[in-house]
Amino acid sequence: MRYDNPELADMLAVEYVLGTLKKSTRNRYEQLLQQRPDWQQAQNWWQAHIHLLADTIPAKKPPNKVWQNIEQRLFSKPYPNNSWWRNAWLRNTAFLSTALAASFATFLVLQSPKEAVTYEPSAVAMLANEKAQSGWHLSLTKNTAGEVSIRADSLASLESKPNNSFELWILPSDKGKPISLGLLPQQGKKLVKVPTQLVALLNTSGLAVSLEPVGGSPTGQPTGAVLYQGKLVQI
Amino acid sequence: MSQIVTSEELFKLLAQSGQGDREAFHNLYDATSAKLFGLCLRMLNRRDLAEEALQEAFVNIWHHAQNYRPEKAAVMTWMTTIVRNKCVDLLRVTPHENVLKEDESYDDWASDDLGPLERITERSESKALLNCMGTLAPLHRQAIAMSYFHGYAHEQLAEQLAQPLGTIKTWIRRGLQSLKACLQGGQ
Repeated sequence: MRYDNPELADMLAVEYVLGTLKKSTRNRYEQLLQQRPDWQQAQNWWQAHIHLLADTIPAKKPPNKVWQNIEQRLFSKPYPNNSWWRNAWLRNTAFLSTALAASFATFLVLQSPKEAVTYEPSAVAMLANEKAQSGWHLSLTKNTAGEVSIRADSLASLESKPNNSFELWILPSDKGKPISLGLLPQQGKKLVKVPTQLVALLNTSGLAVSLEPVGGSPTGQPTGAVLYQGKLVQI
Repeated sequence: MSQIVTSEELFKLLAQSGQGDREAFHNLYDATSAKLFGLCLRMLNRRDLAEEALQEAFVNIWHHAQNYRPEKAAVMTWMTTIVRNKCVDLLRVTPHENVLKEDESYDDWASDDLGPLERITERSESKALLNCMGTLAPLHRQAIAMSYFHGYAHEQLAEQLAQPLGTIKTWIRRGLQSLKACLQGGQ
């Protein structure tokens, strides 16, 4: 069979590595590669050898600003790239007003006499997705010791994701890095403690929920899609 | 490069980077960026584009560090692939007159004397490659070098070297077959 010809495998492999295959040929090659260990081997061989050509070029130290830019791109702006968070934010502001209106409505419902005794929220938020479906109602509470918590009540319209966790983030208004507040419940309610030093920030910041691996983001920054957003409103 | 870092050390740094270790990533950058920047300058021939390519490549390297599979490629090979792909991407979107100048069309690879290239090359396996490139017909190795350093498809090579397409294909195929035979003979 033609595909068994090692010369053909070699030529396709090296041209694939060089990036000179036509798009249609490249796609076909990638498909066949999955089923042909001999092709994969040929590709690994050429990859290992042809890139040695790069070693024949004199090294040249890049200017310091290149590293500074990389650092800034990766570590002082939202993950995974510098436009992602901002875009998510802008895209979603459209439904914020709807969500806020819904937030007040829900708040009124929650103010049954019994509930009013157990906690007195000073601010509330409704976290909603792009389709303006609500996921959680949040209320900011303070206990007698002065510790601040966010009480999160999941709502019936929340689409649960059993293979993931929902993580709540503060989005500082100065476009600084998101700060994790912890995981939100897939059903029922949960009290999320707010560290004292973050309380003031809550007044000016947005809130967002990203989809993360079970247990939360492994990196300390959001790694999955932002599904829900909202903002605390003083009441 | 001020110091030669072994491939084991590079592997460790890349693995740590894949775990989110920023310091390891910085060390990986320090150990490899000069060599890779040299490649970018050579391919793109413009400082600003070379800086952009290197920056974008290292952003990719950070994001994909955890996908690195040592059984497929050595760390330096893997990183070089990412950097070269970035350069090729930039070459495709940059107007042609802004890059390769005629007097820099890789005549050093067509020359009979590869000595100047050899003095730069550090690693023994790269010296072996250079040695084998030296056994090829000058036009064959020039065509291969132009494919590598400029990402030229065969049609573009035919135009650049003013040869029929069939001739270019033959040069590349024969050149690569001889190169492989030479490299495997030496192992």
